Amino acid sequence: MIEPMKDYYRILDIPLNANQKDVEKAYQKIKNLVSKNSVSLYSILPSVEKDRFMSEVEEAYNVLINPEKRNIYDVSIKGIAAQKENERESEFAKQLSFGFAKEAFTYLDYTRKAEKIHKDMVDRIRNDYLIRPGGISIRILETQDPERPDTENVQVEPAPKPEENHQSVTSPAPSGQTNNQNNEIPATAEEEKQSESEVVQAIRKNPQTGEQPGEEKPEITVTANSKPVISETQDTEQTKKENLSSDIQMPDKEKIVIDENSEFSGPFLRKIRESMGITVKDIAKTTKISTANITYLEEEDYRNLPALVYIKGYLAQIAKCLNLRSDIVVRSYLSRMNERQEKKGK
Amino acid sequence: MTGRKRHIFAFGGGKGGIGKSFLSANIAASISQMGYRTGLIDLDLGGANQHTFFGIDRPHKTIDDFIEHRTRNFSDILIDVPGYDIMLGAGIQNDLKATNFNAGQKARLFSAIKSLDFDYIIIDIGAGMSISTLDTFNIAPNGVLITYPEPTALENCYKFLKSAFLRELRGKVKEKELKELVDNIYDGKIIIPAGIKIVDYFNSVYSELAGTAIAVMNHHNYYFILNNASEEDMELLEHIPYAIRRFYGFGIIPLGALANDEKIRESIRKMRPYIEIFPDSPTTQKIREIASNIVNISESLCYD
Repeated sequence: MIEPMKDYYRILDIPLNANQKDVEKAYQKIKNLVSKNSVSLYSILPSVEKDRFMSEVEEAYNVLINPEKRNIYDVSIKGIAAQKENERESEFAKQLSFGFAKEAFTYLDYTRKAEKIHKDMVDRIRNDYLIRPGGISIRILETQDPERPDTENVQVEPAPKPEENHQSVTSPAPSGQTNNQNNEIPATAEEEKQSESEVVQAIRKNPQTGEQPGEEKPEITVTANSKPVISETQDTEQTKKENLSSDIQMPDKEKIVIDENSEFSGPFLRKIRESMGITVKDIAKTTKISTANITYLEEEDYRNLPALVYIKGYLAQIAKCLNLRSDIVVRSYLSRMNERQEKKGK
Repeated sequence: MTGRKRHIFAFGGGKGGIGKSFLSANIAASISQMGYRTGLIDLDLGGANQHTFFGIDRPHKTIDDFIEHRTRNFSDILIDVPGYDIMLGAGIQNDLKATNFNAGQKARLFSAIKSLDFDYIIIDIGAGMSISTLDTFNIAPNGVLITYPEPTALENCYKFLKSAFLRELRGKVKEKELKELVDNIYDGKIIIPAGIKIVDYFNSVYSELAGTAIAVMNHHNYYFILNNASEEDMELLEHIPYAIRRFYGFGIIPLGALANDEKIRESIRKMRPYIEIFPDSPTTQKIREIASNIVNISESLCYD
């Protein structure tokens, strides 16, 4: 059997400029899938391989989640990384592309957007599938977080920074011959493997002392680059914190209280919409629902609304526009609609 | 080539009896009802019966006629589907011949299908993973895999995807030793360790092969439909694409999920499309959704 490549980013299936959160998310995803013994893994990951695979994942995670270890690793794979990223990009480009021009996006934007579209699609299918009869505890404010399309986009801008940092880190330190060596793109697979094993050695060493016995080359890389790199990451962490705080301040919805008990009536949906500065036309544009139908929904003019299935679909789409959990909005709206119609009937 | 954009979708999935023919018939019907000119080609080589889904008792012209050179143009063998804007290429009735057609026949058939003048072309592909089946699947830029949320169906589905990919890759590489390598993977003589994507593996063995592999992957969009799914299976809509991407390196997009529905059998017995007999059933809604997903994705993928 062929020795698996120690490309930690590949093992966790994340881009090179993924942040801590992405690393954590990717790790949890794999762990969850494997530990749950999901049927989706049947025949893809034989049970004999599971342990070996998971130990690799753990190894990758332990390095990438630790800023210090990760920096050392990053610096040592610098040369290979550029080449690999190209491949990865072209591999990803078509995979989940939905019509946006490839050049216009960085890799991370690209995957984030693609993932979001994919997730939306899954959500939509899932939400439309069944409106669960009771029993869901409403966690709107919580569940909003992972979706948060607007803030996600906001975050995308500072995200490519770490990549720039790496470049700026390595460029002022071409002092050693080693760095030049690292920047050379290995021509053959063998060389690639060699440098990878160096990488592993570099990581196994204590990152701070770095004076462990071994060849000289990796030692120099570690000591030459480790300090500035760490300070850079502190910067990125700071920017991350800033991002987080801005995320919290962002939603205007704070003025309106949306909690477990809120009933998503037509007027309430309108209020949320207006507070976000979204017009009926905006929604009509993105959802392709007619403005008339949106207005009927908000005015609770049930008689003019189309069949129930359409209402469900409309509500789900509107909820998505307003950044709300669509299943909950649909359920709440429809139960209110039923009640009111029954009252009228009496 | 005409200026028209053709979107060709092949419906496959390896395992038999998981609703490939049923779904391709009904999705074709939905797409045609959305106002697109639709072609439905029955290439289920083992048991072609698309005509039966539309109540066409005995098609007077079939793909046989084209294969046997009784007609020159493929469009001559297409028959009108009553009640729909669909032209049906009815499947081969002589099964023995069908499974054995040669490379020349195949090439002629495939190029004829590719140049048909429709908005959407739906190809129904039979069960199994014979070479002909895989080749048929590969002619379409869009491959739709149908699967059940069961280990057996998923196993076949994954294997089908991988085999179809390797089959196409084999056709693309010229060097003898690379062909051999692909064959060995195909035959299971070389096992790629779990957790390593096919492309990564090629990269470590023959990096030229990796480039070709990526080109082949980029040539296709893969989708899947989860049939016969209960609510608990919904998480598979996320897990399957993740697993396929993580372990194989393919991107695959979920088109939708359908629940078990006894009425399907009734519609087949009546020999009419399900969406016509039960227009208000949830299954019809799902089928229409899948059809509109197909249309939306196709439209958004055309950015020229």
